[in-house]
Amino acid sequence: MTDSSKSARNELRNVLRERFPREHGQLLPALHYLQHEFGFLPDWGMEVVSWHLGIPASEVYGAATSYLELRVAEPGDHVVRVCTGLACRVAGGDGVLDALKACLGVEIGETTGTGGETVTLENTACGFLCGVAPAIQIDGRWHGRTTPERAAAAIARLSHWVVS
Amino acid sequence: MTANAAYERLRKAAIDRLSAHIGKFRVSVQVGHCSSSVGAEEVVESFQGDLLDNSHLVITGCDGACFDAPLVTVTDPVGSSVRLPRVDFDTAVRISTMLEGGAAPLRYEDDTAFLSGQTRVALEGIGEMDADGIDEYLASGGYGGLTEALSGSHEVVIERVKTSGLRGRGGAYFPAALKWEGARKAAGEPRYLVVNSEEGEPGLFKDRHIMEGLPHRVIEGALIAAYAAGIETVFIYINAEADLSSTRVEKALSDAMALGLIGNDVLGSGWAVNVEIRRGAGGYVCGEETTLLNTMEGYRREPRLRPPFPTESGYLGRPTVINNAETLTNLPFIMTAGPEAFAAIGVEGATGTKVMSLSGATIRSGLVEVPFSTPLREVVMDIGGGLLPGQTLTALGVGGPSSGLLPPSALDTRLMP
Ligand SMILES: Cc1cc2nc3c(=O)[nH]c(=O)nc-3n(C[C@H](O)[C@H](O)[C@H](O)COP(=O)(O)O)c2cc1C
Ligand code: SF4
Ligand code: FES
Repeated sequence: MTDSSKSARNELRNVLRERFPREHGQLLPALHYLQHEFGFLPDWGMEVVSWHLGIPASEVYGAATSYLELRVAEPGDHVVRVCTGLACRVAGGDGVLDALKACLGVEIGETTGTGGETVTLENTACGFLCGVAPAIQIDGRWHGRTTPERAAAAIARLSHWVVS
Repeated sequence: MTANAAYERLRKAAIDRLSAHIGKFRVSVQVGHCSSSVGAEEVVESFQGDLLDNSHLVITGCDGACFDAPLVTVTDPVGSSVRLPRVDFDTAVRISTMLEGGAAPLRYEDDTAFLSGQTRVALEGIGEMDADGIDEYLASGGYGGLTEALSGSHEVVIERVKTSGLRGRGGAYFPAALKWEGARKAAGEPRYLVVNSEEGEPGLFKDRHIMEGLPHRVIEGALIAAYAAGIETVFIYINAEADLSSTRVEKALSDAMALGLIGNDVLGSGWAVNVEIRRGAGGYVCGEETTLLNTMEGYRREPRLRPPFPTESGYLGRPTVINNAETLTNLPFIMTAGPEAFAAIGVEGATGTKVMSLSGATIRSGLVEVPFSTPLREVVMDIGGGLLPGQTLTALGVGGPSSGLLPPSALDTRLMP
């Protein structure tokens, strides 16, 4: 959970005032900032952006949900993304995905249960490093030429993650 | 002072600064989005910790040989180079130890077919040129194309680009010079240039490489186009996930500004231009130009009806030129080598080269730049090295998933717009 207290809102208002001029075109940059700060777009944060830019909250939400890169739901403590694009599949990406599913015990789009830190498993249509396929991304960092074994080992290294 | 005199002064200063490294080994590490995922940063850390004063470490972009990443090139004080593929932390330690003793690594049986089969215009120097500083670009003649442009009127630039036959590399192949003329004639001020580096189509990674490895050439190309089209505000629109591209372009912009190559009086010519980065937010359609404009203005990610075309009513309703990053990267060559030299590459109606992202079942994968009219067979079988053992050719995907698949018999098709 993010801190949605009055002081958190005020702090965000100050940052927005300093960094984002009150123009419609600043919506995406401001949402990017939110995502960078919190890992997703908390409702209260979008509301503060809506006040600051003078754009109705419904419009802010509508724009936010039309962009794949922006998350409106809070992910787990760790995010693991698997590339399921063509080049990665040709290079054995399916096996990597299966290994990740098996060691996390979740399907794509799901988050592991509570008890220790949680992990969200996602896929992407391309990681844009097709030349070193297959690729996975763990907490923002890409790993190319991966194998089922290496992927499983990387998961095991995620701190406090208890293998089920 | 003329633009040319101002430029020569900058260039000489850059050469002087670089002369501090004369007599040293030059160790360059190719750090790109791909190579970072297979250990390039660890290699850099190793060199940073181990190299002595007799060596000079340089970070470059990738030369496009993804299959060999991470790549390191060691150049001895006399200028002879060894290019070393798939270097890891331990190999880097061994290289540092040899250099400590004053010896360069031994010549390696380098796989040269991938690069030697290509014709590099847009990508010329990628993977060799310092990607974090401006000096090597300037010293090698970089920003000479901009200087040439500023030395004449915008009409001269437009005429040259018409003669070159340059067409847009973003997919529609519209003649670049005609687009600029359209924006110039359209009513309304100010006009804008948007460099389209969204590149969200799965499987395509060429614009990222270009921005990572040659950020100054993208900027120089954008400045030439802006000057030709009468534009003073440029936005470089970079994919939301292409963080390294953004970092390199941002550094390049600040270096160019510090030297007066961007600003109120570019190279003393009196021409003013401002350049800013804008980031996308994901999703393949963001690269479509009217969707891109919606994104920039803070609206939903959906296309607008055309007409009006952006050249008449684009960003904030003003005349806006939208060009792909690769399109612009060709401009410095056209201005310095001349439009005829460009037109001599490829065939009539399809001049110059095309940069492609090669991946899948080929032995070698990465960035390939070849003249238009090159048969696909040459790209896949010669440059790509053919298929990996155990693979059979079932289909060719050209232009990303949205362009569909071609049957194996299409191997003899020539690359055309
Ligand atoms: C669905 C779709 C996606 C596109 N994606 C890109 C892109 O990622 N990069 C790009 O430069 N052009 C893209 N385009 C083409 C642009 O709309 C535009 O034509 C191009 O940027 C113009 O630049 P050019 O004249 O230099 O080719 C896309 C077009 C469509 C229809
Ligand atoms: S990195 Fe790209 S290209 Fe890649 S597989 Fe993944 S999809 Fe594709
Ligand atoms: S990013 Fe490094 S070669 Fe592709």
